[in-house]
Amino acid sequence: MSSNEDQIMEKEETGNTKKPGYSAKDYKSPLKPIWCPGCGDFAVLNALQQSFAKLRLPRHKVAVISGIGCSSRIPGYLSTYGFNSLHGRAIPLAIGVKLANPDNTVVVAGGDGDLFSIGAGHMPHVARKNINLTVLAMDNRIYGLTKGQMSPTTPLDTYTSTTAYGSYDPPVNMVKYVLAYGAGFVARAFSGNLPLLTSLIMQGIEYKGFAFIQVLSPCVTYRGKAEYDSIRENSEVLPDTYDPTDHKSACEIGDIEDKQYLGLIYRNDNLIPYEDRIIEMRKHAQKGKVIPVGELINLYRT
Amino acid sequence: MHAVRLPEKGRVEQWETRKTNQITIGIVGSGGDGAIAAGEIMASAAAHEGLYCILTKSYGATIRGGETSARIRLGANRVHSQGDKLDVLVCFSWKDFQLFKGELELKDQCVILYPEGDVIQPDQLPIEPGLHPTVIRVPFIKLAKEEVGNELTKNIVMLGVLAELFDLPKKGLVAAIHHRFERKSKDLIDLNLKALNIGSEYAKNNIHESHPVNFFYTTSPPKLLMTGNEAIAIGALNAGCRFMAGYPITPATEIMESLTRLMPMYDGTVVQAEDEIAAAAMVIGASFAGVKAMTATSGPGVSLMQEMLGLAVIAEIPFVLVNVQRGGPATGMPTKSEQADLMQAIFGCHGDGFKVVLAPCDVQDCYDIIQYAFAIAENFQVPVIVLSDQFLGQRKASFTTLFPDHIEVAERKLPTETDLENYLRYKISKTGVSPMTHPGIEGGEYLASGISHLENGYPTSSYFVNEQQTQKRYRKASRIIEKYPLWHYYGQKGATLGLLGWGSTKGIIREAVHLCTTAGIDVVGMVPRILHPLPIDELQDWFSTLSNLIVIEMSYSGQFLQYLRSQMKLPSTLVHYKRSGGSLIPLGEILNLIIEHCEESVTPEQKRIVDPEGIFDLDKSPTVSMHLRGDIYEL
Ligand SMILES: Cc1ncc(C[n+]2csc(CCOP(=O)(O)OP(=O)(O)O)c2C)c(N)n1
Ligand code: SF4
Ligand SMILES: [Mg+2]
Repeated sequence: MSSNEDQIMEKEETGNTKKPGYSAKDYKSPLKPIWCPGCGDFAVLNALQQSFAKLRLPRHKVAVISGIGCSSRIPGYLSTYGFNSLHGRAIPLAIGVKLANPDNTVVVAGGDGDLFSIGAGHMPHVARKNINLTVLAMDNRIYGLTKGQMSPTTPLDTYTSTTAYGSYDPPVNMVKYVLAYGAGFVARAFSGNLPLLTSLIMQGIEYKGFAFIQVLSPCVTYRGKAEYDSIRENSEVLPDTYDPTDHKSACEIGDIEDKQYLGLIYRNDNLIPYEDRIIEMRKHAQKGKVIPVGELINLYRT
Repeated sequence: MHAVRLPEKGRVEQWETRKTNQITIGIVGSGGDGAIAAGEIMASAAAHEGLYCILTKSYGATIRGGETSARIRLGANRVHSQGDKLDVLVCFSWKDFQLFKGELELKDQCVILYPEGDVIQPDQLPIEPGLHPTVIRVPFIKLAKEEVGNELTKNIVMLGVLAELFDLPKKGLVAAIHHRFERKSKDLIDLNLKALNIGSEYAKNNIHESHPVNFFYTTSPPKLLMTGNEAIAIGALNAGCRFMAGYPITPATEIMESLTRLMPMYDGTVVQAEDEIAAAAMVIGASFAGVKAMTATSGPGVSLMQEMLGLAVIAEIPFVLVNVQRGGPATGMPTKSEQADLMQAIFGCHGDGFKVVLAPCDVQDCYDIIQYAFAIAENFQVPVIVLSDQFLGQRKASFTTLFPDHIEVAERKLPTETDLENYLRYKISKTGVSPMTHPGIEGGEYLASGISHLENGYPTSSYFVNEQQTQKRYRKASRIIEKYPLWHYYGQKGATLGLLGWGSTKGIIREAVHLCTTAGIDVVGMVPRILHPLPIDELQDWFSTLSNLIVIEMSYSGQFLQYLRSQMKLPSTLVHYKRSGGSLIPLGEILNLIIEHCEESVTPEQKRIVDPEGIFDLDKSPTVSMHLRGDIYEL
């Protein structure tokens, strides 16, 4: 704890003299993560910082929005703008942030429960609206923060604190759902493969539209240390020959459940982002004469 | 002129025709009869000739084609409420009328017009027994079909008849028809003008029954005509709102509908969200990002937004939420008014969350209150709930003008260079407000969060810090009430009988006070427009001048009185008038209450001045004379 405070002091002393640059550590906040050692979320944090650095995004033009969960703690560990909001509500909140000022880069981070259970209702709509956000679904297949209950991605027959006889809810297949919702950028990454994770986050941020990345991010505490190995065994990076622009093959990849394919699964560059539609609509609305707001009352003169 | 009371069998009476400078007309029919359209055209006509009017519309359960009614009250002087009993009823269908019976009461000497072909005979009308109406049958359909050439114009034919019979604004009707159909086609304008003319010619030549109602007025410059929901939409734009997210819900939808049309003209954004939770989240997100933002909904939507309200409280995000109240709980009565979301607004959402609650009291006030809401939200970084209701939101009213430059447009308190040197978003301050940055401002990066936090936004579970931050947030209250003394008094200050109500109830309070004052009955009305924080000192001072207080509200459980009680000491003689929503508070019931609770007894002469037509039964004790009344408790 004291080392954490020292860090804060150090920051404050040096903060004024030297403007932060674009190295990964410039995106780090003075807060020390509360995650358990070995938690997959460290890699996501790391990959985000590297992505911001490589893309040279000014810190003040980035907002990271999260819900509630271990994974959702992530904005606190970044030096950008952040909002640690309510369980399940990161997506609509991020939509407001993005639409208020589309110049800013807006990233959403949340857990499997956050994004596919309590907040699942928002996913089809953000995907079809095609709002230019990058969503990181940090999937540990468990409720971490509340200490180990079944999540929507928990595999069948798993013992958790709420499934005393093994889970009997078939799990959600995130990639399949999001493809069906019409997302134009769908990828799967793994905390155990940092270069791929970083590369996908960067592509997602640069993609003009809704980008969804499922990150297999093990919870070592409630699913065990063996989770890394089991993911390694059951996953495979998509070969270079794979064509992510083909929706049909993307759906086929999405359908496969005994093997988790990693990489960019689908990318469609022909979709129009929501913000662009709004700009078009404004042009249309402003075609006639636009009266000053104070004179709007005259529209109601009889 | 003398008139004959018609239907009462075997009895013929004579009386003087009443010249009146206000008139209340009800129009009832099924969807295809155009009752609502006729009401709207009449309202527009009235406003065009400078009259005051209030138009309320009522729909049955059917989406389209079901029973509808329009009630319009016109006046040469300001009209404050919907009008109690009808002077004139136009009934296209008696079956539909029966469905609205409780809402459309008739004056004893009213005029009833209905289609000639109707099988119901004048002596079989399903109206209150004992009334003395003048009944006139008009071949609306035949005239529309044969003379105008389009059966659908029968409502306009009817307006022509009314205009001729009662001297209603004819020039205004012509202008209103132009106004309504100008975007459609010239042919439609001509067709409707023809219908209007045929109606009035018919009345001139064929209706010889004399009748007791005659409206007179002098024309003045055209007035503005709008609904409360429209006033909120343009008021919000005037306050600088440039982001709105919502989910359709009766009776609030028109706010979103108006804004979807207007907002893009001013580079703003409206999002139709997937639900109210998302709508509220989007608004908080946009506001966090530096744009003035709002949502508008009704009770069920506000219930879904509770968690988000708490988030706006603790993260100190300006957030404007309009609740156009309808009957509750659950789906309740979507098209009817109620004032039973008060407790939810003030105390809703878990935890100790300080929210501001404002309540507009008429259509014009909707324009002002929404601007105050933005000013308070931005200046104090708090959620502000605007409690409108169906009666305010969906009624149309005419008035002289609105004042776009009246209310300061607040800009958010941004940090200075010095603040940014060691930026603390939630810095403890005397006022409770601390500078707020937003994405895009260099050096102002911070973590907003719904979790209890330190001054810099980082999470903490320290009880001490939590208490400090809670105090900080509550500290805003006293400055808000100082800076925004939003309340109205009506009538004689110093009168010892007081009427207290909020929101749309003001109409009835103001009218009752006005009538009584004219008759020399001393009574004073008070209507707070800021309900939380409550102007306790002001109310307490006022209470000390009263010997009797009547609290009026449209809430079965009496939420307003319960709230007042929890905040202050009330006068010892207290009368509580409350009723559930659905039907508006009738003026007669309030007048009766006043008369009953006046210190000095009211003379028959005074009663005659208050109620020259004798429609309110002021001579009888209210407990026996009123069947449609609210619960009254003397406390
Ligand atoms: C409305 C609401 N319901 C329940 C909770 C309790 N809660 C907090 S986090 C969480 C689940 C976290 O799981 P997940 O989203 O997968 O994130 P993780 O901790 O696994 O990263 C729950 C149920 C809450 N904060 N709010
Ligand atoms: S509980 Fe699981 S998810 Fe949460 S920090 Fe620990 S390892 Fe990570
Ligand atoms: Mg999880």
